[in-house]
Amino acid sequence: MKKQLDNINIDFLSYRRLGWAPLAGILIVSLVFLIKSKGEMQFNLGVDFKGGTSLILQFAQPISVGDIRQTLGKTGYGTSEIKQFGSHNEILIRLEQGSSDISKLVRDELSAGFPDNPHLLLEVDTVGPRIGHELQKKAINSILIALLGIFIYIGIRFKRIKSSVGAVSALFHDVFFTLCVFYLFQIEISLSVLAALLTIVGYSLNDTIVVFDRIRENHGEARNDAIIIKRLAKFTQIKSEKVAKIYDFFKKQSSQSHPLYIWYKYIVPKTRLRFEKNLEQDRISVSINQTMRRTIFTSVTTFIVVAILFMFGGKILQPFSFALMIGVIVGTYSSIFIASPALLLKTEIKAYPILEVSDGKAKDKKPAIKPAPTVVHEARVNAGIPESEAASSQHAAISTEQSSQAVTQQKKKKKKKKKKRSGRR
Amino acid sequence: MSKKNNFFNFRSAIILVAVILSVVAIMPTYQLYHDKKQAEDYFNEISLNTTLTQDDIKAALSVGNLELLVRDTFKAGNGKTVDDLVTDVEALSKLDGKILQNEPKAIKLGLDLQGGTYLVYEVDLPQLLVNLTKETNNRFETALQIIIDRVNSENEDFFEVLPQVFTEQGLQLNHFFGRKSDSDSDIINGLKDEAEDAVERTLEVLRNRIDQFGVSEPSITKQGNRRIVVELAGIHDIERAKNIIGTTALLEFQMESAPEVITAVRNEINRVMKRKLAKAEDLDAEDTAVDSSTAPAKIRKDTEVSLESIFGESSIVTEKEDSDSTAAADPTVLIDEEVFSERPFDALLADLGGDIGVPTKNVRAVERILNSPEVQEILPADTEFLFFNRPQRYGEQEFYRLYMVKKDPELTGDMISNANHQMGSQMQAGKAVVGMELTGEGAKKFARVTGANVGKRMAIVLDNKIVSIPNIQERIPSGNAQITGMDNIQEAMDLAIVLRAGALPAPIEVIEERTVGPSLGQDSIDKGTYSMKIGLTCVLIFMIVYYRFSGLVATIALLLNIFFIMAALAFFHATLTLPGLAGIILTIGMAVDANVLIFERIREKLGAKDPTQESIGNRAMSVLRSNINESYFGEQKKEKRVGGTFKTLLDANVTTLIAALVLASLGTGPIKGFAITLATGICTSLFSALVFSKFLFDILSTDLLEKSIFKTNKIRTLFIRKLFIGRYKSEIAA
Repeated sequence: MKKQLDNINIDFLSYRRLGWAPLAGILIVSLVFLIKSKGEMQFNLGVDFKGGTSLILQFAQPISVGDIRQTLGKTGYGTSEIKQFGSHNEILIRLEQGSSDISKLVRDELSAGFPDNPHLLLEVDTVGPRIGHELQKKAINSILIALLGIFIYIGIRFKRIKSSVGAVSALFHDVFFTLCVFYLFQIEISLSVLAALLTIVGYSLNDTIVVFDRIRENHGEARNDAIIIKRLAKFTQIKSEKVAKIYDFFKKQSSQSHPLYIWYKYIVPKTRLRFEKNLEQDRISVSINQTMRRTIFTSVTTFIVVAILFMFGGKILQPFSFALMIGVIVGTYSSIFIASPALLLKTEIKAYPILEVSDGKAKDKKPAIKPAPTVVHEARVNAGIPESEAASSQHAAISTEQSSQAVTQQKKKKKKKKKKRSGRR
Repeated sequence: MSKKNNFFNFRSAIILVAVILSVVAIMPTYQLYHDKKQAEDYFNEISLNTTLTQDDIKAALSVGNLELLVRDTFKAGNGKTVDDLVTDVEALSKLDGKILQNEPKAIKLGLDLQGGTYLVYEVDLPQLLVNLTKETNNRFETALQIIIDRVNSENEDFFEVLPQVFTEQGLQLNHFFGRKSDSDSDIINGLKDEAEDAVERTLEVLRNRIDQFGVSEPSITKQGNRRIVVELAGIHDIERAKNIIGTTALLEFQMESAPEVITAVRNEINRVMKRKLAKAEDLDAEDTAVDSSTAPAKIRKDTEVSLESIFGESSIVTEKEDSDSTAAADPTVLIDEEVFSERPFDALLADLGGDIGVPTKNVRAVERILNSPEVQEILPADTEFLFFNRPQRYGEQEFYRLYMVKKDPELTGDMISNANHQMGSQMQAGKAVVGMELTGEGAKKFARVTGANVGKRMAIVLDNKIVSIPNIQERIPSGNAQITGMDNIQEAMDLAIVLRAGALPAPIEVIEERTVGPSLGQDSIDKGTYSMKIGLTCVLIFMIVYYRFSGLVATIALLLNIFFIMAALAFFHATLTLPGLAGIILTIGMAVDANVLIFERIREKLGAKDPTQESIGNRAMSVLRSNINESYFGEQKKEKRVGGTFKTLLDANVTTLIAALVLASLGTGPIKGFAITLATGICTSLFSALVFSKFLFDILSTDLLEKSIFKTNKIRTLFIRKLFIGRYKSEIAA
């Protein structure tokens, strides 16, 4: 057990408040650029979304952008975007007009202007302004639909809204972050970048779900005991060996009532909430650490593959693979620092009902206690009580109250001692 | 798990079937690309020895007249005889048959990989409306313009805007369409039906035209209610294809107006323009700065003048002309100074042996004058001015001929039964012409018209431009007509194609075009496969170094996975695009994830329940086996399995699948291809990780293998601790 605990290397969740910091940082930098350029620096939307024509031509001999600009200037296209694309022979020309004969006009002009340097057409994209507008709408819709679908699926599979919230906010984070990088570097956003964004969504989610799944699993694991003991030790400032002994003793004494229940009885509500939260935090941290090796391995292999694609896959795929490169990094980051902390969200509210059910003082105030089923469920989940025990322990919490009084008398003393000690500090 | 050998069971049968099916599915693809490479050699050889281009050869191959064409266009000098080529042609057509057979069963390469073009056409509904109206007037045209603007800017439905605008403009729908007694909704429904019908007919015509290209598997589909998507793969001359597809091909035979009528109209126009100019000059005199630094006049004394000076404040024309036309870039025209003051319209024209010639520079100006409302008013109602479709060179200048013809056509293109390109005879010897055969009714009409108009000229008009204007020498009873004046045989071939396929019911316009040249496509394939190879190698080395024997299992699973993806693509006849290729590469990265997840879990289990420590002797392998099983499906805990990777993988992949499906539904070519490969990759990687790797693991840990290879405890320990999955940290105290 002790060795398992060694798995906790980094308490990721302690840094959770910094989780959104990188995104906030890049958003601020982007805003600064936006304001500094007086709104002129915008997303570099490709012809797919803006409408227009983009031509990639390959000349037989190297050619300068200036010459082309001059030649095209005669027909009034000199002001369009003209730049080298890859090698010195390849030229990218982007025009705002999106009618189909433009590309032919430009090519005819270039053939006439450079008779001894013939060119080959590599690629033409012509998108009418209306289509561009439609694609823009479609792109935004597709991302939103994908996120909605994922939200619903995770909600169903993990049975908790906060899982959905965590996962989807991580995905939002990834998409925004990648878009900000594209904005800052002024990389063209085309349909293939949209495809990359949706792939990032899929990839990041993959990561998130692996962590979530581990957390779900750890709620029922024997390992849970280890986590509880460690947290108890930290909380009460008693050596963990001692806590483990007491804990084991409790467990053997009354298998029907969970040891946590007893623990709950003797600490004040506020501390209990903190403990509850810390416990959940530990559980998540342990889960993240357990999957850490897999996360690193997968991220590294995927990153290698994408980086190779970026380097050797040709100019056309570069924006696509660049987006994926950012996405792999951001996606890994977000499942740890954005998605997982979201699971702590409701702990503070849901911990109280347990109190009212099991706490003697609370019981005095409200004699008739009928815990709602959802509350029981939450209690089980949050307290880390194994599922099968949950119902019985809940039952026990009420019915065995009187009978276990005598048994717990002895424990009470011990616990009280501890409480005093912890209270002093 | 039971102790007996459990790999001859249902699961192994599934794997076997999957592998066999994949091989069967992938065979045609392999065969196809093998054949295509061979065909490419033949293409090169034939085009080297004839004047044909590759596109021509493909087209001829699909029509079936390649042998004839080869004999016609044979070019000696490369050490090949005609007979050699003919045997080539025979072999090629046999190969072509095989290719056609395999094509629908193979992986299709996307346009971005094999080169080709993706075109979205929109049927010009406003023009269709104009064609359907009983009459037009200015108010109708302004209303139409408003509709066009609204549809374009606000993305509204054409037929919803139409009645609204008509009511706003105070126009009655039944004044222009249908019968007087029809209600608005009846008319709108009627028009909708017409429009739908027009799109269907357009689709049909485009199909007919494209079928003659020799393109492999052209795709022509309807998108929405007024768009048509055309995908042409492997075409080299895209401009030519676009010309053939995009022409309306409305063929009309129109008689030329009598010369005295033409002269009268010209004089009228001169008068109108003079009046107009005088008015403009009064308003601002200094604007008529005449630029006299011009080329020396040979035919006439020409001067370059800015367009503005002729039109004054350009008040004659409404400024709605398309701003992206190149003609707008050069705002000057040539005028004959001597006659400009008296006859300003004539000053823009030239006399070409009795015909009117318009210098190329002036074409736009003349068009604007002719379209101005003042001139339209004085034109006789049954006539119109039409330009020749190509310029002609006289001396140093290029001219477009301008003719005045009767508006009502004597004959139209739907009376053509067949059209073919031919080599002309007599006057046209050595030049390409298009011969047309008329239908029975057409022939009768043609005979009557030619008989009645001997000595006059009849214009053959294609899409409102005159292609030829022959003099009628005698009555032509045969029903054969000829269009002359083609520049080359290709032009004649193209025109014959569009005439055969028929005219489009309404003009169509390209609103989206994506073209990839064939060289870029090949480049993309090369680069894609290259990065795939490197990526794969890196990942596999990484896996084997890190996970040892299990890494090897993963490697086999991964290779099989790629094989499965290919087979699935071939089976569904899906399209492999460049992003699709990227998708496969990405799948390599992600498929590793499934294996890593499982392996890490196995390592963890081994640590907790070390086979080499916990149980000594024969049980080591079975502990290992149960560890593997638990890693996959979870531990049995009180009637419930906890902590298997199976569920995790399922959840993780289903969500990625959601993203992929959304992408697929978004839909244009390459992106769809990406989504499809991604989705396929997810399914196959799940299969290969959950079923196939597990299968390999099971073989590895069977009792049979234990008894034969891992005989001694030492070997077993060595295998499990060092080789199986790399080192793991045993958590059990020794």
